[in-house]
Amino acid sequence: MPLLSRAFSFWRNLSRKAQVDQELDEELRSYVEMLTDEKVQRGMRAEEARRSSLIEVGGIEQVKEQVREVRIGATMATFLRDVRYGARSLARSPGFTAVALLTLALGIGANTAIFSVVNAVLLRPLPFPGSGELVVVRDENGKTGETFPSVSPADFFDWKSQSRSFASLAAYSGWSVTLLDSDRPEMIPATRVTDEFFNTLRVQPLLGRTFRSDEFKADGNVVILSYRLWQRRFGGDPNVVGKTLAVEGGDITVVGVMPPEFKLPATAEAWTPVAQDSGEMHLRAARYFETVARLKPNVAPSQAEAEMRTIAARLASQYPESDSNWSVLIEPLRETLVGDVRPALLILFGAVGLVLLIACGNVANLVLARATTRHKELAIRASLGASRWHITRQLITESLMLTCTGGALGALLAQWCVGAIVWLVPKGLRFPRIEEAHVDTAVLGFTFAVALLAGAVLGLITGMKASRADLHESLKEGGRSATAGWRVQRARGAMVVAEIALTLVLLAGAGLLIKSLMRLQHVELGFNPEKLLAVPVGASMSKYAQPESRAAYFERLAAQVQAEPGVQSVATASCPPMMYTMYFPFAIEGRANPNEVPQAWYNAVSPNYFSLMGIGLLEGREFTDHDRAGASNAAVINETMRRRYFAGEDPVGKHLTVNYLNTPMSLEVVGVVKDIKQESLAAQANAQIYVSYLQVPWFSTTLIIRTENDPGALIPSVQRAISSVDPTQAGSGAKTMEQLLSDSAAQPRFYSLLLGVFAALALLLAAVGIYGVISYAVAQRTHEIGVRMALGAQRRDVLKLVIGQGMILVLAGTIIGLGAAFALTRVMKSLLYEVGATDPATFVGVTALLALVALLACLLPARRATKVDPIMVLRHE
Amino acid sequence: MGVKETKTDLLQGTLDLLVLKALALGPLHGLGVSTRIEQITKGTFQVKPGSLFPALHRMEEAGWLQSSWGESENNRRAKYYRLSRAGQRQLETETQEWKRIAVAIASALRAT
Repeated sequence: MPLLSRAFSFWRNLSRKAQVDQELDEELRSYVEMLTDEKVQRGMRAEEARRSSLIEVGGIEQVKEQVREVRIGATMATFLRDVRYGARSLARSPGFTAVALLTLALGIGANTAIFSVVNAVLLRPLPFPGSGELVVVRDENGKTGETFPSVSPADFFDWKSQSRSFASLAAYSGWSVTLLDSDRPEMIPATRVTDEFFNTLRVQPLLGRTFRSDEFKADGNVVILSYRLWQRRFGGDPNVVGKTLAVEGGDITVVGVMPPEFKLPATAEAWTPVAQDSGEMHLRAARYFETVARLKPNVAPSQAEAEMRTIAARLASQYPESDSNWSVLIEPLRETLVGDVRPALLILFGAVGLVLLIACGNVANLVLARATTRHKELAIRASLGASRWHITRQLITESLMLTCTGGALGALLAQWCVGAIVWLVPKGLRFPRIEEAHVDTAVLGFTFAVALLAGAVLGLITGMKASRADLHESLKEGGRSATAGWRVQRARGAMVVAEIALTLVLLAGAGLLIKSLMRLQHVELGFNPEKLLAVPVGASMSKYAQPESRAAYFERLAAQVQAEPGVQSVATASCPPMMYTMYFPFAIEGRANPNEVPQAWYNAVSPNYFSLMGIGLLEGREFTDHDRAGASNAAVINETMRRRYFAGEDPVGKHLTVNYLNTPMSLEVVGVVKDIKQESLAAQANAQIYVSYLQVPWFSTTLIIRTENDPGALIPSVQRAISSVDPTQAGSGAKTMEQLLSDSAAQPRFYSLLLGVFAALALLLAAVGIYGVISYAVAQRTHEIGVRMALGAQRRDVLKLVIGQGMILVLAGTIIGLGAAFALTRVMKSLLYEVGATDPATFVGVTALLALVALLACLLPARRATKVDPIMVLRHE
Repeated sequence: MGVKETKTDLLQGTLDLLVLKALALGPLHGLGVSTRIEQITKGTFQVKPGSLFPALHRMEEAGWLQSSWGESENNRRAKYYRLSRAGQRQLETETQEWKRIAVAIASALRAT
């Protein structure tokens, strides 16, 4: 019986036990009745006949039990026999089994590892009840096409009061809380939330409660802790709710602790209420509120978007100076959280799938090579009455045993790999949800499915070969069937061509990523990153409410740190490169155009910032110590701003109006400096306006310290210096510029590393594949080679013969692979930095690498071929 | 009626061979199979339900027999078994095998 129908019958017997039992019941009843009929015919009385029939049958239940055993047993027995036979046969060739298992374990393990990441990041639902209804409402600039993750407070509250599509709409915004309850103040990344934040997400606190509606005002003074902070700072104290914490600017009371899986935003350690009665809520031009909303049931995102666009258009005509050209975009919360990493993850998933295909190709090659030597065994079985299905079933069972064992090993390997991958992702990097990745039942289910699929494919390939070649023929020929051998050899050749093609695709992808990473790491920064330390510090709003006092405080800080040994010089900036950016709308005086509200990066820096950073001055002057309160406001702009807004004019002397927290602020351009990489290594320069912090100090700043030696070693003494100026202030979150640059390249580096590993694995497997096929061909052709040598062929000719045979496969694979790579690398475009998706140099390079490795793989068996002794070969004949 | 010895511990191959042989002449229900075996062995073997039904189901599972529900001669609903093509082949194989064994055993007995 064919395997499938047997498997089906086995399943039916187990799953439809009731029906099988019922049929059996009926069958036995009719037996007893017919036996009784017979006895009655022979003259017995009906009652006696029935009694004697029942006695004759014996225990009906017993009979049924025996039948049941037989039914399930027969299927199991056949299966177990196949398995036992398979195990014996695999154990007989341990080398083959080990190589095949290792190959499969690598292929399946890599797939399992990447799938567990894909599962955690992309597939598993977000940890919020009804997360399908959660969306993010964000600003979109109709003119530049750029989308903004955020909205201004005033626009947000207008959206909230005017929209009807949402069950609730909430906003949040990052800030920090400085904890003072221990010797060393600590700055905690916190998030301010509006009143419907927690009920929009429908999360319940682990301890305590969420905020009450009367707490969303200036003197709310309550905080909800993250699980992480609760564990780290409070040792998981169950009585933490109700405690009052000393923080910079007053005391706050803990009202709740969130469960560990609640991480929105990912960096938040604590949540506090937004003061919804403050003047800040009237800011309309500064976009820094991020939103999350729950759609009403039966409202589609597109409907909500249409409604929001009407509202945005109304706001734009009402407040043209801040809102013209701004519209609204709605996307699922999941998209906002993981949208950035989806393409890269899918590419990695695809790549690892190709690796598995190559691994399967190699194992199929091994199995085919073995099938040729097993030909005789199979032929004998066939001649002893094994049907074609019997043999195919046996081969499929063996393949499944291989792939399932390989899969089990792969799952173990994956366990380790997932740990390595999660570890590889630099901490604090925006790689959402990756820490949730682990090998769970869903992942194991995937692994099992992959193993079964691979096993079925392998078994079918080999089974097809075995049954197609006429098995009886091979018996007649004494086990040396030239035609069957040739056919198998051709199939193996095709497999190698496919492997080469797939490997080339992977190599091209990895090559492009690596080249792009190298470009990124050698990008022109526009400043000197060596021995730089960046230490963010806040300024207490209660103590330093006045701009002048803030400026004086920052000045004192810089002076104090400057006095530390090992410090060369100290500058300050509100937005140091690779750390922060801040946007403000601006206009050029005398060129007012209400329909156009350009935005520029804004940075409040110290006069020595440009010289310390090594940012070149193009014209005009830098800031001086005289650019402070009282003098007329000065601005320095970057070259992108000059190019974009002052084409053909001299910007120095022109006046700008910056919408500074809802107040127009006039600035005179005094100089132009070169562009720098401000936001990240990859991001293009934007227009940038620098102001002097002595004149317009921001609410916090970052000390930028050029050190004499290792900047990291100076962190403790710098922190001590900061505390000595004001013990309630913390200098947490210090980072060296080296670290910041490395973090900025972390994601591309992570992708290049993974894809590079997969490509290297593919290359290794392909090399083994070529080596196997060519070695086998050489072994088959030993006789022919011997004859050729006897007839005068030189070693060189033999080398050429064998290598030629291999390189034809490589050439075919390369051509197909280049075609596929041209078509496929396009999907990587978004991951590449200043490298074309079909970069010719990369394609040539990886092709050469592949050809070289393939040549080496052919060279070993070719050298063996030249060692053939013609005399021995001929004598053997 | 000859030897009335019930051989439930028949060699499994023997029982299979007898069932296959009985069904080679046409489809039968369970009782029919045991009656037919009794007839063709001239009463030497009487197969009890305890060994008959497990054998029938095992052979069906092995693909040698196929079954369907039908009416008996006395209008009773009964499950009928018939040989499949695999069953016919099996019958031939087992017949050959049996002949070989029979010859071997006979010659072994002669030798003593």
